[in-house]
Amino acid sequence: MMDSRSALLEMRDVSVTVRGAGGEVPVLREVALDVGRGELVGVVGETGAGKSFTARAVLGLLPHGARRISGSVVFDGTELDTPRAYANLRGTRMGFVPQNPRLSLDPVFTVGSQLVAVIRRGRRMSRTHARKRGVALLTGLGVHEPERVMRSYAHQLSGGLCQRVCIAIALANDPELVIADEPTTGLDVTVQRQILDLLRSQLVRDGRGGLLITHDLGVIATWCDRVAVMYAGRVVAIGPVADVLREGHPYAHGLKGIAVALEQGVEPVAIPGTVPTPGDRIEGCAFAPRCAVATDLCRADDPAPRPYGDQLVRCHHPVADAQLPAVGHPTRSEEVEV
Amino acid sequence: MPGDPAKIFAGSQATDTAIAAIRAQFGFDKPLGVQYLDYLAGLARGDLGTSVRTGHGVLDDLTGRFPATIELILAALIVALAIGVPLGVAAGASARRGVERFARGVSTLGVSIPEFWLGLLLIVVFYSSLDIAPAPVGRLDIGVPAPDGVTGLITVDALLAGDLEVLGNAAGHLLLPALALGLPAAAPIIRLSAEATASLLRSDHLFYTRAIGTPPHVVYLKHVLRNIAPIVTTMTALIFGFLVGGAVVVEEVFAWPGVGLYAIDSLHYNDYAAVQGFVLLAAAVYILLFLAVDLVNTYLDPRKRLT
Ligand SMILES: Nc1ncnc2c1ncn2[C@@H]1O[C@H](COP(=O)(O)OP(=O)(O)OP(=O)(O)O)[C@@H](O)[C@H]1O
Ligand code: SF4
Ligand SMILES: [Mg+2]
Repeated sequence: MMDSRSALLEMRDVSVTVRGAGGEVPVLREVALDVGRGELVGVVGETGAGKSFTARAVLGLLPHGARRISGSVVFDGTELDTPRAYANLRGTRMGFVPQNPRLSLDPVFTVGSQLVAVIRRGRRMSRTHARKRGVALLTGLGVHEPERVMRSYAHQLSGGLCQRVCIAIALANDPELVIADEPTTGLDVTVQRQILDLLRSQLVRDGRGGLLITHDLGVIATWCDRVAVMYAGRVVAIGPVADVLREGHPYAHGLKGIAVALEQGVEPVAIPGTVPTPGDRIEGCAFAPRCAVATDLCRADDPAPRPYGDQLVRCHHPVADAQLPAVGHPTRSEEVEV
Repeated sequence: MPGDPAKIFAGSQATDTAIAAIRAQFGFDKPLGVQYLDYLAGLARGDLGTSVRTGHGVLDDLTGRFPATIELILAALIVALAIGVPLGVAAGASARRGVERFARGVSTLGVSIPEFWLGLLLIVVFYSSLDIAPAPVGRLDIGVPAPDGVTGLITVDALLAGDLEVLGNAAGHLLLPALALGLPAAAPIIRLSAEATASLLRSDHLFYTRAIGTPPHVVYLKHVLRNIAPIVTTMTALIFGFLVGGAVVVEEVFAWPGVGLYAIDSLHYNDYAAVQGFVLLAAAVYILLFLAVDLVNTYLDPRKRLT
C-alpha cells in the first residue's frame, strides 16, 4: 500500500473549464497543490482566483456546466477519478466548511437534523444517541443552548451560529482532511481565533490535515504551515508561509503589502490593474500586466513552476526581498514606479 | 345563452299556456334584474335554484354528482403528479441534453393534445381494439352496486369496505378517464419541476448537502423533493383549474356522471340555474384550494412560519 508519509491530498495539474457564452472557459489552470499529514495549508487569492473551484474539484462536486479536463486528485493514495471513488468519503473522511453557511444549510430541515444525519453516516447509532453527540459537538464549539440551536432552521440563526453548526458538521466524524472555505468570514476576531485554534488543534495531529481557503493573509500567517497563492485560476506560488510572504513571487509580495497596511490600519495601495476573469485572453504570465518587474519574456511565455528555496513559484524573475519594489506597501509607496 | 329554457323544458308539443305556466313556476316571467336578486337571495339561504332539466334543486343535483368529479380529478392529479414530478426532477437533474429534450418533448406533446382527443384515443385502443378496458360508460359496470360510504368516491369507499371486487371494477372504469385528464396535466408539472430542480441544484445548499456526503438517493428523495414540495403544491392548485375545465370534456367522453357532465347537459338545455350553480361550485372549490395551499405551504416552508 501507500507510504504512510505520503501526502494526504495531492492535486496534480487540475484544469477545470466552465461552459461560458463563448464556449469552454478555463477557471482552474493546472492547479497543483498538496496537503501533507499534520499540516494546515492555506489557499489565498483575490476574489475570482478559483479558490472555491479548487475546493469543489477536491470534493468532486463541480457545478453544472463545469468539467475537469485534465489532472488528478489523489487522496490518501487513492485517485479520485470517478463518482464511485468518492463513496463514503465526503462527510466522513473529508470534512467541508462552506463559504456561506447560512445559505448552505438546507432551509427546509432543522440544522440539528442535518448534523444528526452526518453523525449517523459516520457510525451506526440511534438518532437519540447521535443527537446527544451533536449537542456535545456544538457545546465544544462554544454554542450556548445547543438544544435550541439543534431545533432551529438556518434562517432563525445568526451567521456565526450557522458557521459553528457547519464546523460541527465538518468535524463530526473526525475526518482526515478538512476543506474550509473562508470559515471565519463574518465572525468577530475573538470567535475567529477560537474557531481557527480549534480547527488547527483538530487537524494538526494523527496524520490529519486541512486546506484553509481565505482572503486573509493574517489568518494564513497565524494558523497555516504552508500557503498556496492563487492568481487567475493558477497556483503561482506554494511553500512555507514565511518564505512565500518574504520573497519569490511578486504577486505574493503585493498581497503581503496590502495585508500589512490593513494590519497597521492605513489605507493600502492596491496592486495596479485588475484581475483577469475567466475567458480573458491570457498570453504569457497572467500577472504580467500588473507586475512591476515584468519583462518581454513574461509577456510571451507562461512560466512553468520552478523551485525557489523551499517554494515552488511560477515566475520568470522570482526576486529576493530586498530587490522587490514594495507594491501595495504604504510606507514605501513612493518607490512604486514602473 | 340564447333560447328559451321554458320552451325546451316543455317540449315541442307544448301549448303556449303550458309554457307560460312553466315560466311563472321558475320565475322566468319576471324582469332579469328581479330574477338576479331572487337568485342572490336564494344563494344567501343556500338555495341555488331549481334545474329546469331535472326538476331538482341545483344544490342537490350538484352534491349528488360532486364526488364523481372529485374522484376523477383526484385520480387525474395522482396520474399527473406521479408522472410529472419524477420526469421533471430527472430532467432538471440530468446534465445530459437527451433527458431534458425528452421531457421537453413529452410536455409539449401534453400541452398540445386535447383531452377529448386523448380520451377517444384511449377508448379506441384499450376498449374497442384491445378490449382490456371496460365500456366507457359511468363509474361501474351495470349491475355492480355502488358501495355505501361516506366519501362518495367509489374506489375509496370500496377500499374502506374491503370490497375488492367493486374496487377493481371502479378502478377499471376510472383509469382511462383519469389518464385522459391527467396526462395533459402532467405537462406543466414536468416543466415546472424540471426548472425548480435545475435551479435547486445550482443552489448553495444543495451543493453543501452533497459536499457533506449525503448519498445521491437521499439528495433526490429527501432534499430535492422536500425543497420543491411548496412549488409542486402551488402548481397543483394552478393546474386544478385546468383539470376542472378538462373534466367537463372528459366526463362527456366517458359518460362520467359528475358535475362536468351535468354542466354540459344543462348547457344544452339552457338550464341557467344549473350552469350557474356549477360555475359557483368551481369557484368555491378554487378559493378553498388556494387557502389550503397557503396553509400547506406555510407548513412546508419553515421560512414562512411565524415563530
Ligand atoms: N457556476 C459558475 N459558472 C461559471 N463560472 C463561474 C461559476 N461560479 C464561479 N464562476 C467563475 O469562476 C471563477 C472562480 O470562482 P471561485 O468561486 O472559485 O472564486 P474564489 O476564488 O472562490 O472567489 P471568492 O474569494 O469570491 O470566493 C470566478 O471568476 C467566477 O466568476
Ligand atoms: S513571470 Fe514575470 S510578470 Fe509574471 S510574476 Fe514573474 S516577473 Fe512578474
Ligand atoms: Mg470562493
